[in-house]
Amino acid sequence: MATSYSSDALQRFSRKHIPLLYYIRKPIFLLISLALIIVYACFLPNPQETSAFFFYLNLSVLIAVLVCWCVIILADWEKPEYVKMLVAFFLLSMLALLFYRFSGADWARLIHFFFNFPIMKGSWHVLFRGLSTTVILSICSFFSCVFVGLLIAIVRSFKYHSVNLLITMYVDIFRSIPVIVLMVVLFFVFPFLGMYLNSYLTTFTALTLSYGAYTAETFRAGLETVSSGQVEAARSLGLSRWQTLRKITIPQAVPIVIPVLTGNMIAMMKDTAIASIVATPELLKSARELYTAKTSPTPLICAAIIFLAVLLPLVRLVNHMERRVNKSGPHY
Amino acid sequence: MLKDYTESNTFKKLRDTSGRVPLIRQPVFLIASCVALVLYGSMLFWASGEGLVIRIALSVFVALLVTWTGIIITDERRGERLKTSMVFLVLAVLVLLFLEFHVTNSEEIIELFFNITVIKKAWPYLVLGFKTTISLAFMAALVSTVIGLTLAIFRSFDNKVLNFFIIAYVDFFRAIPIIVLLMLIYYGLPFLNIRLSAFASGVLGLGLNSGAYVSEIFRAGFLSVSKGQLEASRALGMTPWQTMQKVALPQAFKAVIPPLVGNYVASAKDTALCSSISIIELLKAGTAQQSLNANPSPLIFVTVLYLILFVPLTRLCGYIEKRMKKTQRQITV
Amino acid sequence: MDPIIRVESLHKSFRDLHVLRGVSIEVNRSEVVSFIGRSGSGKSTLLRCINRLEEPTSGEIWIDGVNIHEPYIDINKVRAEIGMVFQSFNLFPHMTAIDNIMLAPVCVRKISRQEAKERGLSLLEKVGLAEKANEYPEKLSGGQRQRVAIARALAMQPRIMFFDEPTSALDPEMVGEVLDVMAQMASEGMTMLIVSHEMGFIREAADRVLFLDEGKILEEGTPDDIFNRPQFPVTRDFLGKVL
Repeated sequence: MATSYSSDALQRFSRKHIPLLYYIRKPIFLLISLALIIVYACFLPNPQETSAFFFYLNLSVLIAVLVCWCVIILADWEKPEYVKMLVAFFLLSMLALLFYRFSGADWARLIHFFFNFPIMKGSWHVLFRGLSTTVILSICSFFSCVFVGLLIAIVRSFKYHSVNLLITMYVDIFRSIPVIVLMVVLFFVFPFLGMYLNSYLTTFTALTLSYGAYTAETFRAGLETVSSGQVEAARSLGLSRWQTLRKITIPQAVPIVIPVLTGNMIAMMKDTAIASIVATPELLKSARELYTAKTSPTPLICAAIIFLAVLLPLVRLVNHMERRVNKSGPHY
Repeated sequence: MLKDYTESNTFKKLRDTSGRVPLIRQPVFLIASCVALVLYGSMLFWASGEGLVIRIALSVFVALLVTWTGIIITDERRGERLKTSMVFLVLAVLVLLFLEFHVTNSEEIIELFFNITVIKKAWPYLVLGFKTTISLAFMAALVSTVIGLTLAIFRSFDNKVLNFFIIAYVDFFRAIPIIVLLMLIYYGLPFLNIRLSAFASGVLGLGLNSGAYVSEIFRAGFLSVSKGQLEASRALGMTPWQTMQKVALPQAFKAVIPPLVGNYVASAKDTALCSSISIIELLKAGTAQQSLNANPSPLIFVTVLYLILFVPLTRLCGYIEKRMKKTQRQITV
Repeated sequence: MDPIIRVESLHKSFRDLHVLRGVSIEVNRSEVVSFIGRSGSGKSTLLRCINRLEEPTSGEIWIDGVNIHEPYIDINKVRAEIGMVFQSFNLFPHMTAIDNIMLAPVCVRKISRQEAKERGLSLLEKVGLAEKANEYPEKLSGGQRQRVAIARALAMQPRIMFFDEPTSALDPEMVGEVLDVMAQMASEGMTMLIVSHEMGFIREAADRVLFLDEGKILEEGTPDDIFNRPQFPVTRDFLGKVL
């Protein structure tokens, strides 16, 4: 009995055919194909001599083959880690090399135009004044939109249908209009109504209206994550709706809402750059003025760097917080 | 020790007061105050005074009106239809007050904001702009999907070197404002001798930016398939390919679709930013026609177009999200 | 003496699902009434309707002579007199055990924090958890959580207690500790409405058992009547399965 079982099992367990991937993953095959790819890369046609179509066709084929080759190694869990590291470096450097060689950029100009910091001498204070405008504007609008959002979310949680209808309309409309359209309408159309908003006020109003809608949704989602059992327990103890909200729902919603809220804050700070359209003298606007004055993109680069310096830490912070919320798991 | 279970005061009090309607909820009070409000309001219209006094009177009126509506809305005994019509009535009164007291030339409003002849004149340009907006949105979605999917796949290999660059890419584009990116591409790159058309710059800027978000969405989708699911399907003897096809992808799909659609809609909204690099899309067409005709109707019309385009899309996102959540909950239960 | 709870032809439907089809009951002071029946027979919904966690579709409810559907009855005051214990505990995860207990007395009854704390501690002692006062709910076992939930309800000094399947979410070895606390309350003369599947406990503690089937009260009587001499085949069938 036992013998017949094992021989039968041997037959049933053995492979019928060996998969192609088995051969492809052999080192010898990989080495040969790597050599072929490198040869192909060396003999790529010169963009000046052949037609553009032929050249780009060749280039994309090369990149596709290269990527496939790397994916084969990276996805193979039997390959040792250091080989994968080498392959990753190889892929990145090849891509960088191809970009350097064939993007048609005049790299000699890079330093001279893009990172020509000496010409910024004496103009840094313009950028920093712009930065302070950006920061002040975004902080003011952030607080006002948190206020609007919280108010809306709380009123909404009371479930007065008629009011909720209005709120839904507000939220839908202002989530659907791009901020830039809102700013342009406020700035260029409202004067026809006899209402003159200056550029700061325009930015503030537009950001508050638009992000107020987003923040309201954020708070609503946060309040909805608190389970209905919690609310019922509180209500059955005799707490009123308002007490339940204050003591039970909001304290539990806050840790969930804060990462999203910080994300909104980042998005809003990014959107203050749009205020340059309506002539608010914020960071981007100052940089553009300097760009015109100096005929060099260096101020734009500087503005980008300043934006990154302010926003990157916030982005990392949000990443960190999201990871923590995910790890802590749901409440019961 | 617990307590004596005899008569409690609360119930005695409740019994005494039961059936008594508080003053502010009584119909007589509500009607009387309504009449008073209407009288007050009509006095405001007749007394065309100027300056501070009328302002104060106006704000008092608005505050009273809102309180009165609040009393109606918070009354559980009134019907929903009554409340809804009341809210919209009050809203109409507020708009009327706004027009009467804040707008200097309220008579010309139709001609100024909804001028059919101007819109007719601007129509071909607006249609062109609309087409550009749509094609920008589609191209950006395409580019961002390619970038995002590639990055997410490479991220899933868990290679430290690649991860470093991918995270750097994602964080960079999440931190930099799109409009700054567009300016860098359109106004900066020509200095490097890389000349892209305005349209290509727009697509590139939007695509690079939204690609970062798309890659995060796909990554979350890949991670959403729990290890237990993969183990269960492997334990049934399915090959990795079958596992991918029958177990992993359908689940990842559910996790990916709602945020992905949301992202495409957001990126479509961001096409309006391309007006800053002289792409004649919907917004730019609107502003150009406004300054050409010295009349804001085209811009109003453009706003309405944006609403018509994006309100259904935003609703769609919410709907998809809700539906997917529902099905996911069914799976876990 | 008139009954403390009187329910008359109570109906409740969720959209097209008719859960309660005309339930009428009367509960006297210090009576322990137990509801049994298959899942979906409307036992929990009945309890939740009585303190208006669900709005009944039709029907009248009097608690201690007060019609709680009178237009301007403050339902919060009624609820404050009715303690409720849930199947899923529903302790507030962001508060310690003692804070959970103190919350409602301080917020609703407006007694001082000091007094609330004393009362809370003595209640925790009563349910045998004096040393867990400053633990967060996530650190407690299921049985301990449910006992804290009972203490939380008792802290309001309610006149009536509702138990909505208090032991269904517990591991078997923890059921006893919760039932002990409930039995003690019953012996102290509390009016209790219990939805439970613990037939042994019901037989011991309940004064009256009501069997619900498809949203109606099918059978009613002392535990002895219901368990030993059920009238209807449905009841017999159900008891045969759970006993």
